[in-house]
Amino acid sequence: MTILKNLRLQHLAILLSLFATATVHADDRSDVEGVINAYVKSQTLENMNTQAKLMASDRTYIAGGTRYSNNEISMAIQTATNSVTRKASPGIKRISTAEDVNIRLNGDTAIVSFYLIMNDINNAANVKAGQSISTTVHATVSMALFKMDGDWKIVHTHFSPTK
Amino acid sequence: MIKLKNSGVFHLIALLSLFATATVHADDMDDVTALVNAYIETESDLNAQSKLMSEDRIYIVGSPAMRMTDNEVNMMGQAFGEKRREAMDSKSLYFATIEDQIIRMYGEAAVASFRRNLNFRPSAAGMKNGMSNNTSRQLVSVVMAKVEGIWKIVHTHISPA
Repeated sequence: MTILKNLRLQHLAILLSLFATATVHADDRSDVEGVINAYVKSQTLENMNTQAKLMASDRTYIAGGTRYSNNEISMAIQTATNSVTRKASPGIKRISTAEDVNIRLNGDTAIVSFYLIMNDINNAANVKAGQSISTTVHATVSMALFKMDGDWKIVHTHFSPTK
Repeated sequence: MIKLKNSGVFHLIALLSLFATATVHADDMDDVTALVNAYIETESDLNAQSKLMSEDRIYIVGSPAMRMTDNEVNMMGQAFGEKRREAMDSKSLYFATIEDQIIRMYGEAAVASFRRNLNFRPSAAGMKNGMSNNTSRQLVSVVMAKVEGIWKIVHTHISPA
C-alpha cells in the first residue's frame, strides 16, 4: 500500500515538473515576443530611449555595412539622425511592422529573425511639392536575446537589406 | 579562536569560488574562440563545418538578404556549390580570413562579430579558362549557445561589408 502511494506521488511529481517546464518555455516565448513587439513598435522617428531599454548595455549592432560595438554611441547616432529627419520634414511619421517572425529558444538564449518594413510617411507640404507620399525600407533582421536576471535583453542586432 | 579559524576558511572558500568562476569563464571563452576559428578554417570543408552547428541553426545571407530556417537544406545547397567549384577548378584555392573579431559572453550564450574575407584564387589552368581572383568582403554575426555542454553555432548572419 505504501509502495503504491509512493509510486503515485512520484508520478504526480513527474507530471507536475513536466507541466512546470512547459509553462516556463511558453512564458519565455511570450516574453521574447513581447520584447520583439516593443522593439518594432519603438522603431519610429521619435527618441530611441524606449528602445534602448530593451537592450543590454553592451549590445553589438550591425547595419549598413558597419558594426557598432558601443551601444550608447550607436543609439545616440540613431536618435540624432531621427531628430534631423523630423526637423527637416516636420510631421513626418515612421511606422514599422515585422513579418514572418521566427523565434528559436536555446535555454536562456533566443534567436529571433524577421522581415522589418519601415514606412516613412511624408508630410502634406512635401507631397504637394512633388515628393513621394512614403518611402519604405525593407530589412532582414536577426537578433540574439539573453535572459539577464530574469529579463530578456537584446544582446545583438544585425540588419541586411531585403530589397 | 574558532571564530577566526571559521572566518579564514570562509575567505578561502570565497577566494576559491571566485577562481573557479573565472576559470569556467576563461574556458568558455577559449571554447567559443576555438569554435569560431573552426568555422573559419572549415570554409572549404562544409561537411566538417556543419558539425559545428546545431540542427536548427538559422542562416541569413546575401544582399538582398534571404533567411534559411532549415539548416539541412541550407547546407545541402552550400555543399552543391562547393562540389561545383572543385569540379570547375580542383587546384584552385578557396579560404576565409577574419579581422576585428569581437566576442561577447552571456552565460551559456556567446555573440561573435567580425569582418570576413572569402578568397578565391584559381589555378593557372583556371585563369586560362577565364577565372579570376576574387575576394568577397562581409560582416558576419555568429551566435553560439551551449547545448548539452557543447558550444554550437545556432545562428549566422552575413551581410556585405
